[in-house]
This record gives sequence, structure tokens and C-alpha cells, in this order.
Amino acid sequence: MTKKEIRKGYLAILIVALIILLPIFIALPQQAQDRTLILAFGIDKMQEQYEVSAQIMVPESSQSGYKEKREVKSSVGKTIDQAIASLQLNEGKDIGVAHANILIINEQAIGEDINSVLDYFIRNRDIGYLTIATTPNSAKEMLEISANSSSDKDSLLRLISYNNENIFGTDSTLNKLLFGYYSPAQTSIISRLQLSSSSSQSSSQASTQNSTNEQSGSGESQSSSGESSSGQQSSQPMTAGNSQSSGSEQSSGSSGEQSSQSSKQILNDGSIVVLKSGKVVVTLDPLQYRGFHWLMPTKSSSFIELNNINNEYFKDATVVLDIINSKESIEYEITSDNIPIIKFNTELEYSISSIQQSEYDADIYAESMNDSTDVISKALQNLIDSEVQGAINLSKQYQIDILNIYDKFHQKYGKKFDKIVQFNEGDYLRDVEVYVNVKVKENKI
Amino acid sequence: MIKDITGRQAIILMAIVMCATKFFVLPSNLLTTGHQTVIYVMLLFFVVEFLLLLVMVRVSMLHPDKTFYELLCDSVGVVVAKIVYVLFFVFFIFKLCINIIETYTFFLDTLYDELSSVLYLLPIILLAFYMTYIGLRSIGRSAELLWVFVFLGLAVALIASIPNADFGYMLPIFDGEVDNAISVLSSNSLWFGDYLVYLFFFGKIKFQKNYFTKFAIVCGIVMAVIVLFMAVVYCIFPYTMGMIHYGVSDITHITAHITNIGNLDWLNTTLWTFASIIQTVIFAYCAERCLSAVFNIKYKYISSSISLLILTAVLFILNFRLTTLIAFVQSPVRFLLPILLFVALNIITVHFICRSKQKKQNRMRGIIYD
Repeated sequence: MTKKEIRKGYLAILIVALIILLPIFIALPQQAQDRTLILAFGIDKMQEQYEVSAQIMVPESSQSGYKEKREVKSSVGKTIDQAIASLQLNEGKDIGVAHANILIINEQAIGEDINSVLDYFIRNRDIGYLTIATTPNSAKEMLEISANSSSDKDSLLRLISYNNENIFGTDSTLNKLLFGYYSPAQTSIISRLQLSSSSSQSSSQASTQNSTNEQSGSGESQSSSGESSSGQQSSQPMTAGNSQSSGSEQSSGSSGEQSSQSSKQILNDGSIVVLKSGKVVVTLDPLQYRGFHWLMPTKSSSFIELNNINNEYFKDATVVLDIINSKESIEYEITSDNIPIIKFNTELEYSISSIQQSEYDADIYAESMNDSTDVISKALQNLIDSEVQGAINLSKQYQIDILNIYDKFHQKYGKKFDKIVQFNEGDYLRDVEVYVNVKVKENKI
Repeated sequence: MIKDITGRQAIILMAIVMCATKFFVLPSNLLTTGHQTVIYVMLLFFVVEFLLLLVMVRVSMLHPDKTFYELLCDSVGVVVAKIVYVLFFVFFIFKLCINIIETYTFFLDTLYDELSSVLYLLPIILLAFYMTYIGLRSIGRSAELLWVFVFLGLAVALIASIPNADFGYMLPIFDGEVDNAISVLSSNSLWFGDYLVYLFFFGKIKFQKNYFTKFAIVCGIVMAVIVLFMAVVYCIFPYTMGMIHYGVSDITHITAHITNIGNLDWLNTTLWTFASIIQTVIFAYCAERCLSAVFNIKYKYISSSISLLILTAVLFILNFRLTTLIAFVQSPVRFLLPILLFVALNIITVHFICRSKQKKQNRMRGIIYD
């Protein structure tokens, strides 16, 4: 047999194979017919059982085109696996989890170790990267509200991610959670969603409908967050003292935009849940978390309120600053006395977003802007310093290493730092000191 | 002797073959227990591998018309040469198993809910048979066409992932136990040694200008990229390496998740398929050459069919399961590569000694050596 003959024979085989296989593949049923497509999971705990809820997509064709209808189905079991198996039985279909990208866990369900809840999702290779949020409310109800909303299927994901990416940089993914869980610090953070009745909350609170709002929305969401978080503290497993609650009462200026909806809304107020070894130890409100956020590389632009600004133009004024740019450097050092020191240097560029004071004279507007840089800069310096020191104190109080201080010192000092950890019986945060150096510059353009 | 591939094609083939299967499960296998120390040890290992490869290139250039088998026969005799080629055959069958099962599981986990192993294997075996039969020339030409897509996929994966990596996790250097890192590396030795493929290019390369320099630069870059890739994967998932299934997919998947730009890993997966196919075909070609040399099989379609049938049998024995494959590859079978390395090193040394003796004799006779 010559090469040419073999080539021809091969071509013939390929063509025959295509002719045979093509009708087989065309005749295959739609995957949606034998798969339940899950978009989001919710987990609640009912006495000793888990209730797993799944927001599923029911594709429907209509005259105008293709419609994504969403429903929530739930099932109960002693374990997550059992509940999901039961869900499959009830549906009469296998579950397809490749499109599932959200997991909402009720704080009661976390229990002693979140890993027992997450194990199914970690081991299931079909599930991609999950974005996780906790809630003090019902996870099932949250999924139902999201499913019934007119917004698209990704609105809930955007609601969590918007806060993550644009305000506080909380990477609330399964990977990040496990990163913290398995790290020597054993500390993880997760975003926290809440349900609120729109009749009692201002429309500035993020909802599934307005989660896609632009930057102005983010500022409103942040400033309104303190209000709600302070209001929710009693329902949290353990809540840190709201030492800077004055900041949370800052008005977003959107009180006139009251929503007419009376139904419940999903609210992301920027608060986070901190877990140590998988157990919830504290819930931080956005202003408490901001102290940590200053020291994080993910820091993004945000609005900051400075209260009680006084000089010849201002009397007890509230000045809202928009942080435009920031450059920071963090140095980790161990002194000769074996004291771990964090030196935080930052250069901020801000612009004044708004000024609120009762006796404001418009005539001196331009003059006040030119001459008030020093007093604002000093107030900003003091605010950052107090927030950072507050964050470090919270870390020491709850032994939570949100900033991965362990890794930074270990990377630089290796065994020298390990000895300090050993000497302090694991509580390496006890002696950590932080020095803050802030340089600020006003952008007047 | 007919030259099957150009120098450029040989370089491209080596570049693809050296990195194709190192980006799937290997990062997880190595870094879960070896941590960053294994990357530094691997770097040292690559330096040795790189130097050995350059010696091979130099030998191939000194004997442009002799295959490795002919060189072996000249140096150590036919019997030893056949034994070495049997070892090589077993080595390439294992390498093929790693490649096919890894890629199959990769597709099954990333693109499909269900994928029949038979349906997956059938076109691969048919393609491998065809390409092996046609010869090295068509493999070289295919690689020349596809290399852009392969390295584009890798470049996209790296560029998109590097910003998410905290390279601080590469410190402190040699933090863990070095002997543990060496042990981890030796357990996974069959994922390495791809450069031995070059021995089967002996006598088939049409050398071009500056071939040696170009070869050294490209292979050096490829090895550096492999080390960089391992570092990126580790620095993205320093504490969760045990949960990472496929390095090349996971780093792009997480990037897509963070940046919300869609399933970047699918694009990467698709592009990376080309590398996997080329590597499969090259290993099948090497296995066929081994069988042909050992049993003096004249017809390529016979040696190719037999080697692919043996491969299929081994794949079914392993049941296409990645866990079975990993357990098997980490069994004493892993000593095959060090044996082959030892053999290759010794043969090259013997050859050089013989050659220098021959040179000396020729000089004494007053003959100018070629």
C-alpha cells in the first residue's frame, strides 16, 4: 500500500465517520431537558438539618425571543449532600452546577466550622469559582427575592462584587475564603447581605435593582451602611464595638429618593463577617473594616467624611472627600527587642466632594477652598491614623489577622519570626505596633 | 539520508513538547506538599536538563546523518541499543498515558458533563496512527502552523494571571525541607524528561544557520516560562494548592472570575489542545521508532499499529482515571526516567571518549578529521 493510497483511505474513513456521527449529535436532546441548571445556592439551618435552596434557570422561548425565568427550589437533609440528592430526586433531573457562581449561607448554618458546609462545593469539580456571602436572614428568601426581581440573573453576583471591587475590596470568593482558612493566620472574611423592607430603608441602600448603579451609588451605599449595620448589631453572633459610629450617620443626600416598593430588598451594606478557623468571631461594619482596608493592596477610591472641621471659614462643618489617587508602601520590620512593627506610608490625592455646615457663606466659597487644605489634610491624617490603629486593636482583641501579617513577616524574616510566634504561644499579633505616616494633596482641578 | 524537518521545526517541536503536559495536574502534584522550595529545586534540575539537552544538540550536529539508534549501536553494540530502546518504548507509552488521560480528564472537567473515553480516544489514536505513518515531516509542519496559537494561549494565561499573584509567597527561599522537595520531584519524574524526544530527531534535521544558538535560547526561555508558570500558580494559590486541579485552567478561571470578563479558561483550554495533540503525536512517533528498531519492523503501519494497540491496552488497564494514573506514575515506575537519563548521559560520554580516541588515531595517521 503506498502512502497516497493510505491518505485516500483515511480521508474516506473520516468522511464516513462524519456522515455517521453528525445525525447522532444533531439528534441529542437538549441538556436542559435532563439537567437542572443551578445559578445560585442558599444554605439555611433548620434545627439539626440543612435546607439547601437552589435558584434554577428555566429557559423559555417566547415570541420576542429567549426568556430566562428563575425559580427557587429547596430540599432538606442532614448533610448538604443529602439535601442536594433529595433536590435531584424531587426535580427528577440531575443537577447542572457549572453555572452556579453564588453561595449564600445563613450565619446559623456556619456553626463551628464553615468547612463542613463548604466541603461539597470544594470537592465538586463541576462548580467553578463561587462568590460567597453570609446573611443573618433566610438564604432561601434572599434567592427568591433575587429570582422574582426583574433584573437579570447576574444582578445578585454584581451586588456582592460591586461592593468588593469598588468600595471595600472584599474578595468574597470561595478561593479567598479557603486561602484564609488554610493559611497560618486561619482568618477569612466574607461579605454580608441582609434583607430589608424598602418602606423602612432609604433607597440609597443597594438592592438588586440598583446594584448596577454608577460610582455615585457606591458612595451612597458606603455612607448609608453604618446606619444599618449599627442597627443590626444585636442580631449578629458577636459584634465589635462601633467606636466610629459617628461616621456611619453621615447622610448620603439621597433621602428624597424614597422607593415606592414595599417588598423586601437585598441589601449589601458593606459589612463583613470575620471567621477564625472557620467560625464566625466578629462582624465588622464598613467603617471598622475601612481601617483594615487602608493597609490593603486592593484599596480603591472611596468617599470619606470628615466631621467637625473648624477654621475661619468652617464651623463644625462636615466635609466629604473623594479619594482620587493613593500610593502606599508598607514596611514590615522586627526590632532588636523582637517587636514586629508595621510602617504604613500613604500619599493620598483628594478632591472635596461636598461641604455641609449650617451657616455657609457662599461668598467665601473660593477663598475657603484655597485656605482650608491644611485643616482638611490634618483631619484626614488623624482619621486614617485612628482607623488604622483601631483596626490593629480589633485584630489583637479578636486575634484576627485579616491583613495576613503573619505571611508578610514570615516572608521577610522566616525562622526569626517563627520564634516570636512560638514565644507568644501563637498570638503573634499581641506585640505588633503600627506607625502611620499620611501625606495628603488636594486636587483642585 | 532524507532530512525530515528543518532546524526551525525541530526547535518549535521541542518547545511545545517540553511544556505541553507540565501545566495541567503537575503544579498541584508538586506544590501541594513541596511548596515554593520545589520550584527552586526544579529550577536547578532544569539547568542540568538544559545542559544535557545542549550536549545532545551538539552530538546531533556532529553526526548529522546518523540516527540515535545508529550512534548507540556504534558506541555500545546492538544488544545494549535494543535494551535501551525497549526502555524508551516503555517510557513513551507512559508519557502517552499521562498526556491522554490528563487531557481527557481536563476536557471532562472543564468543557463537558459527560465524555466517553472511547469516543475521545478513537480520533486521537487515528490521528496518531496517521501522523506517525506520514512521518516527522508532517508533524513538524503542523507544529510550525500551530505554535502561534499554543503560545498565544499560554501568554494570555500568564499575562492575565500575573497581576493576581503575590510573589512574596516565593519567600523565604528554601523555606521547606529540600530533601522533601527532591522527593516530591522524583515522585513526579515521569512528567519531566520530555527533552529526550530530541534523541529521535537525530539524523533527521536539516541544520540551518545559528541553529545551536537559536535552540539554546528558545529552550532556555521555555524552561524559564515553565518555572515562572509554577511560581504564578503557587503565588495565586499558596494555601489551596491541594484543591487546584489544572493549573493552566484554574489560573485563568480565577482571573476571569475576578475581572468578570467571562470564561477566559475556555479559550485557553481550546488553544492548549493543540500543544497536547502535537505532544501525543510526537510521543507516538517515538514509540513507533523504538518498536521498529527493536524488532526490525520494516513497515511503519505495523509498528505504529502495534505500539498504539499496546497504548490502548494500557489506557484501559488504567481505566482512564487520573488518580489511578498518578498512583501508577508515582510507583517505582518513576525510576524509569532517572535510568534513561543515566543511560543517555553514559552513552553520550562513551561516544565522546570513542570519538576523541578516533580523533587522536586519525591525527597520528595524519588524516584531517572532518
